[in-house]
Amino acid sequence: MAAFVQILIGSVLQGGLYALGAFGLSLSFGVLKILNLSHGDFLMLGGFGGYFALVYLGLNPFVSAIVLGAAFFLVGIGYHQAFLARLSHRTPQGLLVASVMVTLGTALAIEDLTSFLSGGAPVGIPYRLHSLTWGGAVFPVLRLILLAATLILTIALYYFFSRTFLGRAVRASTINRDGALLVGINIRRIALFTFGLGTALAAGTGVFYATLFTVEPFMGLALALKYLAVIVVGGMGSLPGVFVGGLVIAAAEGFTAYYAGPRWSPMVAFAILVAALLLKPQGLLGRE
Amino acid sequence: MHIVASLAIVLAFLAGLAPPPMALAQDVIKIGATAAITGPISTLGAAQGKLWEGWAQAQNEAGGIFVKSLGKRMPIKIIYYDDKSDPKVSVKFYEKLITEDKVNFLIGPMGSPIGFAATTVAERYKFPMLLGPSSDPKIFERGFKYIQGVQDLATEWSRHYFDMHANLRKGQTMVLLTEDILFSRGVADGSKRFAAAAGLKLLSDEVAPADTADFTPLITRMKAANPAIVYISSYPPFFVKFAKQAAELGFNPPALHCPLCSAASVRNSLGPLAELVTGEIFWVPGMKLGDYKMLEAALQKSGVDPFQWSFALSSLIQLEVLRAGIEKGGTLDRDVVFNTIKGMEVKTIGGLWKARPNGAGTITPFPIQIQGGKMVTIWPPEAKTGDYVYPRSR
Amino acid sequence: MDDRDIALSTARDARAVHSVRPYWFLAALLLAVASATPWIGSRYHVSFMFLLCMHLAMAATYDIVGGYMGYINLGHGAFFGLGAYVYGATVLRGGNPVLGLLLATTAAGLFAGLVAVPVFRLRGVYFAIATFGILKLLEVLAANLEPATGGTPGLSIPPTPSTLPTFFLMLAAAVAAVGLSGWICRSRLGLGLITVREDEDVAEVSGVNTRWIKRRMFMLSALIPGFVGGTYMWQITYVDPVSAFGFEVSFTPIIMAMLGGTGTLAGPVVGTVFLTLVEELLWSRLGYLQLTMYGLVLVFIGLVMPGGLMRSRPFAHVYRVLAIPDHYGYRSGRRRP
Repeated sequence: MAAFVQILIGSVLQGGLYALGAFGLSLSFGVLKILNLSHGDFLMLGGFGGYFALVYLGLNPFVSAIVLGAAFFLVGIGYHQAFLARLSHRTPQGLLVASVMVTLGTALAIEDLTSFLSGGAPVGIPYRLHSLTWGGAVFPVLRLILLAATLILTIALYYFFSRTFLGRAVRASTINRDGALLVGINIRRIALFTFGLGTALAAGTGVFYATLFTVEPFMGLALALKYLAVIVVGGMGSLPGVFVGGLVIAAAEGFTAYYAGPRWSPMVAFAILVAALLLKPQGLLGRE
Repeated sequence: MHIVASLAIVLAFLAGLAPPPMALAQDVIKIGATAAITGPISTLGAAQGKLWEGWAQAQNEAGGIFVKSLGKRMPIKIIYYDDKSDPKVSVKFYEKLITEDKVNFLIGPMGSPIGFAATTVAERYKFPMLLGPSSDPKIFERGFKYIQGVQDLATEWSRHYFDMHANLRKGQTMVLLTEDILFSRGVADGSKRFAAAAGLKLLSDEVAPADTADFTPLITRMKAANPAIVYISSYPPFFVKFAKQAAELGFNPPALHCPLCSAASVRNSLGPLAELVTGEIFWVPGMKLGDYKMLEAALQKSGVDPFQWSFALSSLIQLEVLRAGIEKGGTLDRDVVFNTIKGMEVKTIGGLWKARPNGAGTITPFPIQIQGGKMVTIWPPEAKTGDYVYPRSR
Repeated sequence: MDDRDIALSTARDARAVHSVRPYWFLAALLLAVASATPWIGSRYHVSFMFLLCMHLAMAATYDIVGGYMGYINLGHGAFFGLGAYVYGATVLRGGNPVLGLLLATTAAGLFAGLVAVPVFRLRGVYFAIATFGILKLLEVLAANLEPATGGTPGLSIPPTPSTLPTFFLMLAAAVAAVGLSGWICRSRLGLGLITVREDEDVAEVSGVNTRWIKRRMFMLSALIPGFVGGTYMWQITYVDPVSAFGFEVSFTPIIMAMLGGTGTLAGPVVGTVFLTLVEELLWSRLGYLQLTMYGLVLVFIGLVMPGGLMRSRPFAHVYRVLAIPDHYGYRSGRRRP
């Protein structure tokens, strides 16, 4: 029983981390209809940035997450403006092909350059917080903080998208692009903002990723795929859905690992992805 | 019009097939290989090319290698290509090295999956090839006659470490967690045998995928088993994740071992958590086996960190062995040199090398422990630079 | 000028591709030269051509479903990987190479038929993600079903002394793939595919049996990759989950097809040859940063030439010089109905 509880707690914490990382992908896919395969690489860059911030500037991960998040917000805007903005006029078919090529190309270039400049070795931030023990189960404080941050972020983003004008404008442009244009919404600026936000979230998550695990130059593509599974399961276009998707997948992986053996847990994530696509493509909370 | 265009295209194609100009008389010893400079394996092998160049430079400055049949000392040149961690690319380039670059000798690539494929080229062309960091037993079970390894089989990796346990008798129980990667599994297979022979009781034996992110289930089970030694057979990133999460969950075994903890990324990522972790490495600065002076010169010229690239170091032993073979055989004739090597014993930086009948070598790394942020070898007595500290938790 | 207009004009030309004649001569000549490679080139050239033909076969067959039919099958490499494993498993149990190839091809086709039923309920991006998910699923299964697949360490078979048979088999596969593509391009079936791509619901209403066509073409596009996988295993003698189902293996042919121009006959050919040559002649010399250049080329093509090389304006001049007929409206840049 104690083991079950520990696994459950671990899964919730892990799911929170998945959600944090996947938010950005959900934004760019839900709003911009762009399959951003380079998402994982911005996370990786955030991780490397956090490492250097600690080593050369002595910044702890929380501070560097915010700093890097802000920096990568600008990077995301620049990236979108330079590469992705012109894709928006294409047909859905053409958009898919073009966005796959452009984001895949960017991902490969980023990974290779990082490997070349950093020497190729994995990097991790040696920062630790203690753990709480309660009722026989252990709660690592760092993960609890991240979970809390993810929850707060989910609520904040939810509020943002339903109460503020900017947020509603973003949603409007998702639902009906031409309608939004008619109403006077500056779609281009919305797109830039959304993408920048997504990238900022990715980089911020990357710092914590490097603290909890390690980051290495070639990790981006596989991670992007994992997050894709998260947003598909939770429902594309739904932000609470990202959270739910993260929890579902993390829990499935954790319990499979404990009861069936760790070798089967990667399969679980993809099996759920495929099953979700076939049974309920809108995801658990999605509304398409 | 179309015919003209078609002929133009075909002529261009044929021109591409033209053989390169004939090489001039042999004035340099050409050694060929591929290295995993990009791709997933680059975390282990990206520095391999630089190391080779450093060694070649150091060797040439020392006068090169003396070839008796030509009566002179000749410099060496190592020609290598990036195999992108992809077996089929490696195959292509090894064929290129043989047919176009016309190298004199071949040395091996990084890792066993690439080694599997690359060695088929050697066997097909009947071109002898040395092997370094490709030590999976199955490579040597195929009965190939044109390959010779420098390392012992991956299964023998922790031999010295368990020898130490058999002698020092610190800690009686062990759990084993293996990363599901070719190398780690080979090591784990052997270590199980060694552990049993050393009288250690194996409490659990698990395999986990390489990209496992959440170790909570595994750590929970290990904690309940309460072992003395935790042996993680994996590459550095896997181990780092495990160690961090173990500490988070309050799991602090008296001994924590990872064969590749020598990588700098382990110490950088874990900080104080890495203290008193054990592992294995071929060579530590301060060891004085074999041609360590040449190795030190090579490291200095290439700027490569030996603690970061312990696998890549073993690939240099190939060059030591090759050199010995050329000097003793007295010729650049491949087959003569190869047969000479097979019958020799060479004192290398990693200890005494000789050829096993199945084609593997005898070099295995020595156990080390991270003490005070530095690494010391702890066994056997003739190679150690420090003493084993047990238990880890103070 | 967008994809829609190009597609419509392509559809029209699909039925009026009378000027394929000059292609025949060029193709036959190239084929003759390629077949002679073992004798006029070195064994390295043979190896090079082997890989080129492999990529070409994969790119051209991908394009059947991805280009003509418009369903981006990111999991196309699964057929290849499956073929490689089936061949390896057959040979290890004492089967001869012919049986191995036969089983590899059949297995790929059957798998495609099986997967087609659920997967074609999706469209667009969802279809792409689902096929990618299936690819990864196979990779994990290959790693875990150790008794059958050798697990993560992989499968290894004894090598054969000569690389000639595999060279010609791969060459045949490439020719077959391009030929299949060409046949589809000229046939009514091809027209049906294109209409499915353009507007599936309209196609259905107009009498095209979309369900049948999608399933059959998916299976058809799987056969040659299965064969290619088996031949690959015969030659390279080693396969593991990563080299069978990994990103690089699956994406490379797709990128080649996209680069050259999806939905065109010469697109995959041009894309494959271009990328392979650039890599061989330019990038191998560099040592570092090859992948970066590859990525940058992708970005460039994605931004500037979304229809691929075959549809781009700069190449219009090249085609004029080579006297290749203007099927795709690139010469004028706009194609009026």
